[in-house]
Amino acid sequence: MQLSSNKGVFTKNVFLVLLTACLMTSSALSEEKREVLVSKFREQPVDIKPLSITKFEVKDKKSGKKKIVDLTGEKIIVVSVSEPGSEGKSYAVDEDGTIWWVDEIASGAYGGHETPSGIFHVLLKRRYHMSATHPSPDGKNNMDFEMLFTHDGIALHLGNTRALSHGCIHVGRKDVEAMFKWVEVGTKVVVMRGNYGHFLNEEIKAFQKDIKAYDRTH
Amino acid sequence: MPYVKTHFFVTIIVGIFFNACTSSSITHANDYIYKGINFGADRDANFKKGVQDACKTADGDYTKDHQMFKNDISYRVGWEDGRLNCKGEGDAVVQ
Repeated sequence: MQLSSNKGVFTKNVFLVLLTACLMTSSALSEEKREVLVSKFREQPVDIKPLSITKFEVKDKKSGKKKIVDLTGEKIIVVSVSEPGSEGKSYAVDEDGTIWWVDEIASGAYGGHETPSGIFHVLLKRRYHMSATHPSPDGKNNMDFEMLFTHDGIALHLGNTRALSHGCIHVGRKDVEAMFKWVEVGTKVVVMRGNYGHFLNEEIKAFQKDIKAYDRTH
Repeated sequence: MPYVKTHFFVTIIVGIFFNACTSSSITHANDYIYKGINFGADRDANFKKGVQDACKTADGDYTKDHQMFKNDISYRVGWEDGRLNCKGEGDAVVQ
């Protein structure tokens, strides 16, 4: 009886050791895979760091020069690209500095198609459009709800948010319709690496605080 | 001792009863209900407009009176409350 109990304990310990080893190996592998994936994406010459919902620090990596860009009072679309360490989301910020819409996006693929970091503005809007450089073989429009923001053809448009692009920002149908209606030529587009979503959490907390304070006084 | 025990259980039962009676799900005649959501009692017209605009926004149709948002506390809080609670088609902000 005693022996079988010891056997049981031994088996349990062996199982736990193996399980731990497996978990450690898999986490090490995933970390390794992540690093390989990160290294596949090309470094950007410009680094954009959000200081608040509407203020951004723009750093030229080559010269090391930094400047603060304050977009307070303007319409902004902030894109955190779909690369490791970023979110794969875009945020619509109105003139009051309210983040009023968030959606999933897919940005440019590694190997030269990375969407460039920078602060741009919408140059034109086209409800229907087919890419001239990458036309779809079936002849169907592949850049509908186009919001072009670079002179070399990079745009936010309707697209598959599960497939990385040739540099454009793919937005799902429901989201692109809302964004397209709101965006104007001249709306700022901030493309960045890293996180922006914490500002949304802060905004939600601020809203909740306002509502509580209002309820106390009304 | 049995008296203390009885007293203890009676307190708990009465407590549960009152707690159930004061549940937040109960609505009152002057509560503002919009799209099935209770936005509280005695809300003024500007608060209601804020809620309605934010609920439209949650559906993907951005609607906001910027002047009122800046200058009218009722409209602003109504808009914020609506944006947090209205589950629009996009359901975008509150995730």
